[in-house]
Amino acid sequence: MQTIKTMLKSPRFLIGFILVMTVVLFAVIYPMVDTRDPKANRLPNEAYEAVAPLRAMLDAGEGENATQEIARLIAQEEADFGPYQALYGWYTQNQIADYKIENRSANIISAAVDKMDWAGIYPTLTEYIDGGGDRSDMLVGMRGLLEGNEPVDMALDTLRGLDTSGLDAAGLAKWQQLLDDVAARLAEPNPPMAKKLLDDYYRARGPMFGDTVMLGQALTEVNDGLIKEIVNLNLLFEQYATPTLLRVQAKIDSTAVDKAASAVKQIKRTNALYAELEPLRAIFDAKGEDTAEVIRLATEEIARVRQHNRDVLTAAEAVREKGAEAVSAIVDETVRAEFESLNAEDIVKGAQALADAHGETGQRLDDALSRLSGVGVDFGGFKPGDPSAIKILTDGIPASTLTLKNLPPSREHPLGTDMDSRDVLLELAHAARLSLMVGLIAGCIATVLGIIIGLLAGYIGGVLDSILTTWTNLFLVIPSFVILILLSVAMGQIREAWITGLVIGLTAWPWTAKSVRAQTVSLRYRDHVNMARITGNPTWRIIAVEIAPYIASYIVMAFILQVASGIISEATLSILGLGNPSSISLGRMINRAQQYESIVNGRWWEFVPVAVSIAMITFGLYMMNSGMDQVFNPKIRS
Amino acid sequence: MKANFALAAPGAQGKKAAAYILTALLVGVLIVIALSGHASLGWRLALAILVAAVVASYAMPTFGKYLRKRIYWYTGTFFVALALNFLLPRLIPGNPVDIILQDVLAGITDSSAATALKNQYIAQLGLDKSILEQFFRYTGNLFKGELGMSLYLAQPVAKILASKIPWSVAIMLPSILVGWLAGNLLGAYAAYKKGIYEKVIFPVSLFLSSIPSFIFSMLMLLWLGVSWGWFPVLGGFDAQIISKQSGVYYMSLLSHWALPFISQTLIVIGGQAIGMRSMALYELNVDYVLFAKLQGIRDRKVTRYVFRNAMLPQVSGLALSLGGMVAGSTLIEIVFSYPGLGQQLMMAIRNVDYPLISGCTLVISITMLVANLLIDIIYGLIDPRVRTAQAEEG
Amino acid sequence: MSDTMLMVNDLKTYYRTRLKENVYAVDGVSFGLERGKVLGIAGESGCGKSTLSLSLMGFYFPPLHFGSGSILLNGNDIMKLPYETLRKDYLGKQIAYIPQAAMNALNPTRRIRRYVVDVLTEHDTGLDEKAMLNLAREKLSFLNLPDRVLDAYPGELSGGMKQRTVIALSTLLNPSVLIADEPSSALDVSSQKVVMEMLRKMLRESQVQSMIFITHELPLLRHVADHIAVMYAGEFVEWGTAEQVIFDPIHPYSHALMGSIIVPEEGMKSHSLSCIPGAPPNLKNVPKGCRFAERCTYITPECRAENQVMTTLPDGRQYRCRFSQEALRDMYAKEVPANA
Repeated sequence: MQTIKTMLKSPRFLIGFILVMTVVLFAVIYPMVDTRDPKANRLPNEAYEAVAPLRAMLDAGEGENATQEIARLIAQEEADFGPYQALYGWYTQNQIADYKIENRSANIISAAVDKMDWAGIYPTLTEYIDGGGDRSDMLVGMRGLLEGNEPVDMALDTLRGLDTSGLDAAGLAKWQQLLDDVAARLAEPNPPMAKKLLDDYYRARGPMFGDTVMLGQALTEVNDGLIKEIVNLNLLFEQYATPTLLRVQAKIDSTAVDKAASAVKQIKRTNALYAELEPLRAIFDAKGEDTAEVIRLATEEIARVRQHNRDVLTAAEAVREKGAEAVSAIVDETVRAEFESLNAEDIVKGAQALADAHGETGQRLDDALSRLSGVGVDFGGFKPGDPSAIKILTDGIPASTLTLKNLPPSREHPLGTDMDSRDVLLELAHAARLSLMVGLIAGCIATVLGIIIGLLAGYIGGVLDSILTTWTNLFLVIPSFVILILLSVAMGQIREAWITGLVIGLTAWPWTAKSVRAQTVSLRYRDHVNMARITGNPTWRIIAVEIAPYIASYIVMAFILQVASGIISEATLSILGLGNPSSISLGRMINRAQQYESIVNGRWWEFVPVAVSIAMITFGLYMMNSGMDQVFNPKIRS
Repeated sequence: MKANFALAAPGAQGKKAAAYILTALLVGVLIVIALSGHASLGWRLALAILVAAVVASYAMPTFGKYLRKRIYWYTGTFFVALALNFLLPRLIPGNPVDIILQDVLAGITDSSAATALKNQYIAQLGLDKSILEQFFRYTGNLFKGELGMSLYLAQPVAKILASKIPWSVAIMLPSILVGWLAGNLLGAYAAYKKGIYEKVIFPVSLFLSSIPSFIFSMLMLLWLGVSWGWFPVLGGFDAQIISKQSGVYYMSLLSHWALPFISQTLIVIGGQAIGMRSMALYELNVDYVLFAKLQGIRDRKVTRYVFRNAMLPQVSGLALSLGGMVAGSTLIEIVFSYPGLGQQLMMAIRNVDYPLISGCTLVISITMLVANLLIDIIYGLIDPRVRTAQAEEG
Repeated sequence: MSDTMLMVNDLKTYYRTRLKENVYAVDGVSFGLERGKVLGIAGESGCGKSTLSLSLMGFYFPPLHFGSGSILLNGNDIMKLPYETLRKDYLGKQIAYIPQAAMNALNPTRRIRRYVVDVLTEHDTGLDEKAMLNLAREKLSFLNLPDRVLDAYPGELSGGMKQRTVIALSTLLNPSVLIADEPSSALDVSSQKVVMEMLRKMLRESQVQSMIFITHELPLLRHVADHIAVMYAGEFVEWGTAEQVIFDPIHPYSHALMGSIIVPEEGMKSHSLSCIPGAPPNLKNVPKGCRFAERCTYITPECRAENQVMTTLPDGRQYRCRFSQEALRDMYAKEVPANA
């Protein structure tokens, strides 16, 4: 009790203790407050929630109700209705054109962004906005930025208006050169180059470089603003329009093929033409990934068969009217053969039967063909009110939004979000929990092992001591880092946290063992120990009762250091990619930040909080240890 | 208590010592020649030096015994490390060849080619033989300088290692040496002067030495590299420079080297300053200081005594640092994407490229062992207490 | 040449604690030391003996500070000397110190002869290295140490050898005053005897001019000291010749101390040992009045009222008590032994 009081007076111990407990309390309490799943990288799209009733209706096939529901949603104007406008438009079949514009514009803007083609963006934007396209309000701001290059002109004017009286001839010439260079660059579709020019000049510290900073800043604002806008826009389109369309496309294609195939399959064996349709069936059966190919082949085959069909029907018509002599008038040999195979007496009846069979087949083939041709953005093959079609589009609306990737800190996300849209603060709490736990387990195991081995080697001595000491020194010299790596690689992906802790603990015990042994050896022949030995106490009792209490303080300090080292080892392993990839630990967070180049791109919130947490824990533990050292080893009072 | 004064007596002893040392040199040369062809030059030299040292050690009674003991110990440890490097990948459950080759095999559809590849690996790894034979083969190959082929880079492991090691050493060796020197001076100064410097240097060093090194490096990278843009942040050099001989190339090498070097040096300084300060403080308050001063010996001279004594443990600390050089550089290289051995190790781990992993860990182990042996020897030479302890053991 | 080697007058020195308190470990000590004489200072642990010896050397480094008083060594007030002069001409040369535990007194990584050279060089003896080593050898042989000690490291010497080596090193320059701070307490009995013999021999042969012998082991003083001063809580409480103090102590503390000695002589079996209960006062808060009052058997209320001063008797003896020596002797005579 006395020692605890003394420890609490040591400023170092207190500081360290506070640091560590801050992190521990945060790690323990925060997840209880914010109970979301830290790995949930999808935050609900309100729009998705809003259309839940609509989806239900579509599932039940209630087309009429669905239409009304869509209208209601649009009138409500509360959710994110871009896609629903398109949905409704498609649904009423006269606004497909809008969808096409969006699609086209998205592609152009995409391309323009890739090439930073400023000149190309502006007219497209104008057309889109004037056409009342989706998210126009957002894009107006962007167009404003591009309009007339106002900020850029202003900047250039400022530059031209600066006082050059202090410059000599050489300086003036240089200045003029700079102006010309900048103006030329600004006229290009790639204004960022102007900024680079200014940066170089700035670095070279030419005359009035301070004023060029203003220009640089103005340009930066323009560029950065523009770039941000374009990126956001891109994301938006990427996220809503294009994937949906593509998905719809694919689904429709595939659905179309299925439907066509089933239409063909309905032509039964009993049908006279069953055999003829074998190649067509084969095409459908062999359907691979390439739906377009299947469609093409099937369409061709159907067309061919259909042609034959028509020929037969025409011929049958002729035969029905004119009778048998019409047969010889048949041009096509195959068709003629069919008629010739008929019974001469009942030729009319036979022709009729043939016509019927072909007619029926023909209809089905038409059906199939029409289904196959329901591809592309036309949606021509589907009828209004067809619930399955609407459902396809509804399904295309993502349940979540991904725009929360890599956001800097904000009110909803105090530490921002990472590359998987996860809330960093929540992640940090869970990661700290895991790392602390692993460190604790590792520390316990290492300390316990170290104590046992140290006590045995130190007290019993002799051969056992030699063996244990050799073993300990072995592990001291062969870097534990190496053993950790080899073990982790051999064990593959370590699933459980406690196994990681176990592995770390198994490689960290040597130095504790060595120190405990040294202390035990110095205690071995103390008077009280000798007394205990002489009076016949069993060895284990001597060790437990006479020796252990003396090294108790040391053990506590060693434990603290082992925990710190365990946490660092876990972090190291995770950074190297050796831990459990699906678990979140502090090291894993750094590993991901490294992989996704967060550091280099300045997304500090993705790793600085983690780094600070680790630093706080380890620094705190070391301080606690230093404080305890001062109390228990006053000789080195510093 | 045996007191050993042999070194003070010249004459017959000296002649004996000379004889031993000459014999040692001769033996060494013979070994280098004799083993040529059976082992690579590096190993021959190492073996020659070791054997020569053992022979020469008989010339010095106490130190020689200490030297021999250390050499035997480290040789034994070396074989244990070797065994670990050999065993652990083979502990993977299942057929190691299948696991090693699974990704590679997935791309091969021709089954006969797949079987051929498998057999090649089995033969290469010697898996068709007993474990003991495999170990001998492994050791034999090792001494010839052959470490196997990397699975993903399709190059000999030895070649890969040889090209990567200089990068790691380039950062770690200077930073450890400079940091060690600067840190010790700083710590000694702080202990002696006890002024404002102590209030500033000590907390800063404590902080520097407590933060894990990679954290500090990351923060330095963010601060100096990204925010202030003083240094480039990726790689060993600017990849766009084509001519490798130009001055521009060397400049880019230097600028890419600078930040990792600075980070690492600061960290080493932090650790050393703390250690040295504690040692110096301890030594300054020790009895012999008081006695010497009371006898009128001037402060400066006494201080010199103190720091000489305080330095001794620091030397063994230097050994540990140098030994852990490659291991320590791993994290730094990952943070700075610097193309050294550590980064190579990480990529090997990611690709589960066993031969390369084995090779890297072997290099790390050997470096540690050699550094420790060297420092043990040097420490034995400079600290007489070690010799006394040895003499006591008899 | 005066016969008084050392003259100390009302010396006060204090420790400054971290909390800026001043603890007067030596609180008004005065005495004189003459050539060829040994002064023994006796007292229990913590009474200020070691501080006194450091103070006498003039060695003031934080947290030890000089308060007031004068220390005259060979007629020179050493406190008035600049540190350089003190270091070169006095420390080790005119006044030397033998530390308590010789175990750690020598730098473990330096050979003895290097140390010899260092010390002698500092004092401008004008000798070359060879002469220095010869001088050292002489000293060593005087103390029955072999020449080989010179080449040894301190770790290679036994405890007794180390102590003797330290003595030799301290007296290389034949100091006027040698302060021996518990020189034998860390040794076994036979080594103790040897060391004491050596010290006396040195005094006889004028290798040291005078000696202050500090100890808590009273029996030793009888054989060594000419005068004895008993120290308690930073003050001398009694001063006299060895015979006087040991066999006829006046101050209650001295009386109790002497009574606690086990003397293996005839007739002593029935003599019961007295022990002094309690502990010395905390010098941070010096109690008013006599410092020994708490533990004194003869305490009266007046003892606590005023500080006691040294009473000097006609024969030169001094003691610090308000009672007269007759009164005290009476009280001692009346003491009933515990088991008669």
